[in-house]
Amino acid sequence: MKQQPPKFLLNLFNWFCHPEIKRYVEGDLIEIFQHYVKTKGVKVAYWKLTIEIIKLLRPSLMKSLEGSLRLNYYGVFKNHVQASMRNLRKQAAFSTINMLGLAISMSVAILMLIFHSELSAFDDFHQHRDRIFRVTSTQVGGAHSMEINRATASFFIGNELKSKVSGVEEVAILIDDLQADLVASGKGISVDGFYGTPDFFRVFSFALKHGNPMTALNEPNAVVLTEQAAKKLFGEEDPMGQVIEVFKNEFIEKAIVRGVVEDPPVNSHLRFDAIFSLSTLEEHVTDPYVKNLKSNPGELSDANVYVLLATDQPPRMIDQIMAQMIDGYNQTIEHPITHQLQPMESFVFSDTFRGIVGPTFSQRRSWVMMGLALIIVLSACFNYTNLSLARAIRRTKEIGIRKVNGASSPQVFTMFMTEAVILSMFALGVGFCLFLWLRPEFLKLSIDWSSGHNMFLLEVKNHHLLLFLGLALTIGFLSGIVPAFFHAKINAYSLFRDASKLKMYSGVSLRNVLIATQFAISIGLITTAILIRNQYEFVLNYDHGYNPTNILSVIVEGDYIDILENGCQQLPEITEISKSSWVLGVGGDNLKISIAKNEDLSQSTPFLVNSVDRNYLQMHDITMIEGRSFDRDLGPNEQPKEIIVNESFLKKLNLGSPQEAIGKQIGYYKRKLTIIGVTEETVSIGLTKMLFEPFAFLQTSDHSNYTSLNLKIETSDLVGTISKIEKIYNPLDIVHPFNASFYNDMIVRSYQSRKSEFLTISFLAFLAVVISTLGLLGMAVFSAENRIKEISIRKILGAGSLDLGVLLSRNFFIMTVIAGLIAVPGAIYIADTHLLVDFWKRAPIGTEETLIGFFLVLIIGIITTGRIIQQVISKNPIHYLRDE
Amino acid sequence: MGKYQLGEFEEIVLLTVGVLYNEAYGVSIKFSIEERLKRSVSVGALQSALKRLEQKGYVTSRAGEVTNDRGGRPKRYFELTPSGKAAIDYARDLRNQLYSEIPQVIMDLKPNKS
Repeated sequence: MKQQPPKFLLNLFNWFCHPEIKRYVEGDLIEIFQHYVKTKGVKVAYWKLTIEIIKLLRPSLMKSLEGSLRLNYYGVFKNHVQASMRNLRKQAAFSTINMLGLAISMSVAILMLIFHSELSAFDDFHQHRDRIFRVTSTQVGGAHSMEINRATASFFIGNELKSKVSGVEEVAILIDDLQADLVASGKGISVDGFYGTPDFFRVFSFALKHGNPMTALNEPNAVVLTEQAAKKLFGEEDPMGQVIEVFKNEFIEKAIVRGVVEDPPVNSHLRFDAIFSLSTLEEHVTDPYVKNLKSNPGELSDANVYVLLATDQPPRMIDQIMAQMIDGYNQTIEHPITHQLQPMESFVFSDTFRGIVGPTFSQRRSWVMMGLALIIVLSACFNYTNLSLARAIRRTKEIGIRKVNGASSPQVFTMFMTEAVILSMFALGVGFCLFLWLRPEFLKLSIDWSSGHNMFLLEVKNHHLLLFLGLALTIGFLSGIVPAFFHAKINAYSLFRDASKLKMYSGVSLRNVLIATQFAISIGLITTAILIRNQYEFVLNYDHGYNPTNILSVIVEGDYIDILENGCQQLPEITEISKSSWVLGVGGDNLKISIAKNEDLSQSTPFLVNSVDRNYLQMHDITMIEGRSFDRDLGPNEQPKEIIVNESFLKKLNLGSPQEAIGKQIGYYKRKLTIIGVTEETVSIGLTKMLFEPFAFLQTSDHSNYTSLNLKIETSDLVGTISKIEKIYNPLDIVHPFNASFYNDMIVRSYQSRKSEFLTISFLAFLAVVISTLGLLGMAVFSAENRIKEISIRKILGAGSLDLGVLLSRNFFIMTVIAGLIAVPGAIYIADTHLLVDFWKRAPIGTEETLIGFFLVLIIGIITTGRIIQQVISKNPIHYLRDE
Repeated sequence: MGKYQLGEFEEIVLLTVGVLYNEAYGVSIKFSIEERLKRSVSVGALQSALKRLEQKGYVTSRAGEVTNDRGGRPKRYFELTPSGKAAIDYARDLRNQLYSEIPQVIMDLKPNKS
């Protein structure tokens, strides 16, 4: 018995080889195989045969796609593609309208696909992403006894997990909110970062460029810099082992560089410039903050505890273990603490947690965005269906001939599906270009949504292309299925008998509902956009109770504010100078919150406090409802005795009317302060209810409280003046670059996220309007073509153009009015309860704002349908009736 | 080359078909070329060359009888056609003519032996 070649290789060969030569070549292959078995052995023969078969894979020897016996549909398919292309070309206007609608919706869908895939791939550069968890804490607390979820946990639980639980491989504890100024070799930078335990580099996959990841964070006062930070501080020099001076940090004075880590990527929830070793803090065990942090299981606000679980360790089991660990402590406190493990892939959506490090994105917002994208996509699909059904009458003859010639229903069906898919492929191309054009704008907007962090790249990766293809197929399928069914179903005979008697489809009322929905969405989005814009303008022009014109605020981070003030006083252009701890109406990083009590200490309220000097209130023209402003500055080490509060401060502490409140005393840090003035409510951090409404001005003798030097400038040469101030500033601070901006600009900037919201909704409104206009066009064409005979007869019987116009557009008017009746109140309600809910002074809503959206859609509709109607009316009726 | 389109590999296959005369089928052509030219020939390359030659009308093929060898698959024998013969002649003449026109100086060149 001769050695037979492996069956599967021959089967493979038989599968692709051209049937004409299959038998002979197979024989050749067997012979060659046996020849090699004889001369070179079985192994070589196998190998040679495989190579030969692979080399046989060439077009001239493969069976043709059509099949030699034409048993598959390749040929039919080819014909469909050809017919579709011809049809699309022939109805250029119609195809362009359809394609544009699909392309617009597709660009939005592409954007959302990439957006979502980046969200779900957040933090995925960590090797052990599926095994990294964060310990979160839940405890009832706060003023309203609400359940508070924190992304942080206690040092205690971290240590317990590390030492006592076998399923936990590593525990990394990070103490966040570390800010410091680093100075080395005459250069300085300001860094954000945290203290980290040595496990940091074992849990997370941040690669070290220099240094040993196992030991870098072991010793006290060790620091690991990011590449960027290292470059800024040391340039091309080798940073390893260098000693850095640390300022503005209570625990570190000098640090040694023990490593350089790559910059955290855009999709990292951990953002840092430097990591200090946590053992640095341990040198300060006597410090009450550190002591409390390290020993108190109830101290939940500073430690981020990350665990790396063993491969087969279920996280729910650790939750139970943690419950036992904290149980002893829970017995001693009023509100028990529960700890839970949060998986890494949900870090990005934990925007409702307190103590979050790095960027987060609201899950709800992402759903809303997906939902809007879906609406737009479906709307465009519906348009396609609508338009191609409207065109159906024109194509009945073509279909009839196809059917008479033997095309089966499935074949007609496939033909229409092919057409839809081809069109949607074109739309994919155009939509992709649109997406590329939209991308930079969208990236700019997204920064406002993720609390100022840049967390998206919107890069197109290879696997996305497959997704897009799938998207185009789905959209083509969705939009083509109804016309395809319709054409496949109809009887060839009825096609020729009387095309106009065809019952197009029974769901006319459904269609009206869908079109009305499209209108409603358009009107609603336009109205919402207008309301937001209205509010934005209103806020910018609102009289905040002070006059911010020509005031430049210089941010001061250091103890040189008095020197800078003296320097600025020398400049003749500067007419007034004042100091404050933060910028009124804007806030910023230095917002300070304190607790005040009423005189008998029965009630207390948190409030925002701004430490200012004597000039501040005069300089800003702050309107006082009652009382006076500070009349002198405090001497060194003198405690403040007077306070100026706003109206809601009075309400919170039940201090009566502004007149009654003057002279009353309040408790503040075990001292008594006398209220000497009352300001309007809005004199705070602006019109957004971000934090607390109660607010007060206070004096201070400690000038390090001041971080903003406010200069009133009167000059025609602003640029020159600012550069003069910069010259005074630069030698005083080598760490922080000169940071000064005009008050008005800062206010505009603080409402930036509102502007981006307005822009997004306007853009969506624009898309919705475009798409529904296209849909309307389809409907107008459809109803005009369907009723052409009726119109012709009416015309002959003497109907005027106006009557016909009214007849044809009545439907449209009714639908727009219904849509408007639903959409306008809906938009106002949504703006009221969701979008603008955090403004405490609302712009008045006039009829103008509410009706613009409605009329806009109405006018666009009239223009669109008007043209079609005019075309129909102006035609000679004989032309349509002569065959009757 | 206007009249007879013949690639280098095609020419070799065509010549070999002629040489093997009645015994020219896939495997024998393959091994024969491999032996003479000391280069490996894949079945794929050979079959596609044969297909082209057949399309051009230089060879014809006929099926051999079924035997127990080769897994019961018949052989496919190839034969030169008159126009195939003309193509070989043409190619040979062309080469001879070109060869004879090479100047004597170049004919004296010796291959570089190193």
